[in-house]
Amino acid sequence: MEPEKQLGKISESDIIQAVKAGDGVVLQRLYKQCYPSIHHLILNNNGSDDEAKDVFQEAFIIFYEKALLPDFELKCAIGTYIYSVARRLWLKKLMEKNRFSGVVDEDHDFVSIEDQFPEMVAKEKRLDLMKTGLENLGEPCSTILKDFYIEKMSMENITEKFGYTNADNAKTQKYKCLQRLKKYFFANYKEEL
Amino acid sequence: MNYSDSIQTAFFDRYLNGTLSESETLLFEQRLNEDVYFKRNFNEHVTFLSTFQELAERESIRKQVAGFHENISTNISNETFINPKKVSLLNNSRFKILMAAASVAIITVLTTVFTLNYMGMLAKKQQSAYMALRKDVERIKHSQKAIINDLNGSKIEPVTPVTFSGTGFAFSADGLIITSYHVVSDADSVFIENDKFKFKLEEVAKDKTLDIAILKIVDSSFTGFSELPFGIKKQSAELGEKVYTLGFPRDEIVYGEGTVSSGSGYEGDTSSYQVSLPVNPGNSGGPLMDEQGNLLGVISGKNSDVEGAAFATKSKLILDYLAKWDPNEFPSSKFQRKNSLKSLKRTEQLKKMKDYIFVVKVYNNKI
Repeated sequence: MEPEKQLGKISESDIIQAVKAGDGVVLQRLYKQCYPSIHHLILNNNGSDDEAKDVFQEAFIIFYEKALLPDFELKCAIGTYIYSVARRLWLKKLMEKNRFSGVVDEDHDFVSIEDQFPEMVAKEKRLDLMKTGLENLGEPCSTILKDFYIEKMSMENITEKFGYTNADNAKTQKYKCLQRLKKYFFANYKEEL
Repeated sequence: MNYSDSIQTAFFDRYLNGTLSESETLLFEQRLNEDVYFKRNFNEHVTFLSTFQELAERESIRKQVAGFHENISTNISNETFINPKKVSLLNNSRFKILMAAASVAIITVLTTVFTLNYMGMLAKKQQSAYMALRKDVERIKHSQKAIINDLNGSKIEPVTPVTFSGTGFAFSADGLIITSYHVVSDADSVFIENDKFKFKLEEVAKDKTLDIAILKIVDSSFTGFSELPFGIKKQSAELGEKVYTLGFPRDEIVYGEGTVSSGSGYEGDTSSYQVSLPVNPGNSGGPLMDEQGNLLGVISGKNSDVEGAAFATKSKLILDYLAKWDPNEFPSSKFQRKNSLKSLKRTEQLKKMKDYIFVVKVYNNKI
């Protein structure tokens, strides 16, 4: 019997409500509940404890983000979803490192993420692209853009922080950084679609 | 670096941050409706920013989730999930800490999600496909040309933020200038400028359907142009006919060439041609010329749904319009002249034409 059945004392829709409400206890419990199956999957398929932790966290984050969406809908069990996401992530990693034997040693149900959750696949591609782009951008561009667009720092504060002569110089620099990142992002973005 | 592109991006950011004034916001949204090129740039910016924010949101969730692993025991066992109602959580201090941390994260995340949805809605807004080629030039203090002098002597105060620019050209030697209606439609004052000349204009007539505006030079220093070199074609251009334009999609004059793709324009409009010219915002109002140096029409808009398609109002309609507007002042015969470009090769034609082609600068006091 799948582990998620043992969550039976609280229904899956209650779990989702709790996740949406930011219930730390439920989140922690869910995390602990779902981890074992992924741990077994990865250790049985060429992976280490650390890799199991990384992959599971990534899958859990993806589930968490999805649960927060207003139009959240899941036809399979939460555990199955998280397992399927983790499984896909792990196999991708194995193939990149040429460690995939071609056989998966597992005893858990899973669903095809590519088929059933194309929006997740698209989002991962977008985020990977943006992440790589930021890494390629380096400093100070990466921090300037984060400060302006995420931290909502004012141009004046950015000018001070990075030691520009005046706000116009800072604006120009921010614009150049933005254009470099956009250029990279959109050059590769269309191919991904 | 494309200067006006950086201004446009700053304009997008201010709109998204809600720091535009009410009138600026109205103008912005009106522009989104009229200018598909502007809308496309805006949507691209929004797509980029929403992905950027998604990444930041993920990083903040990651920090929260990282903490959960500490409690994983090395003997992985299947634990039963305890019904929370059976356990009193209120006095559990760890619960309080986790709730506090989670609520901060949730507020951040929900704000981001809301913003992303808002951005999503903006991106999906239905817009007309017909794009007006008008370049948005924002005045920034340090680049402001201090005073534009009316050569009569009175000084005109420089006006602030949003201005638009396009192309205009001389239509008669006594100072009639043609440009697109949408370039000057909300103008308080209009100027033209190129390497040789800089003049203030006054509106004479304009027509929204034809998308043309006729203005007159009202500068006391203007004593007339020498005889204009180009002819005006009254007949229709032929399919496949080679054409060119000169205009100001940037601060320097730009030459583009193409062919007549269709005798009708956007959605079958018979008053304009469709041409395969590389045109951009700022080309609006520029002349469409044939190989012999005759004016075929006035560049009007760009259908960005079709790659490489641009539209131009036919010159015959402009002549008819003027003759109707004031048969005494503007009979067709007034605009008939000898075409002195006819036998010249293209580069020579351009040399002669460019003196009569201008940037149209529009100032709007309302902002």
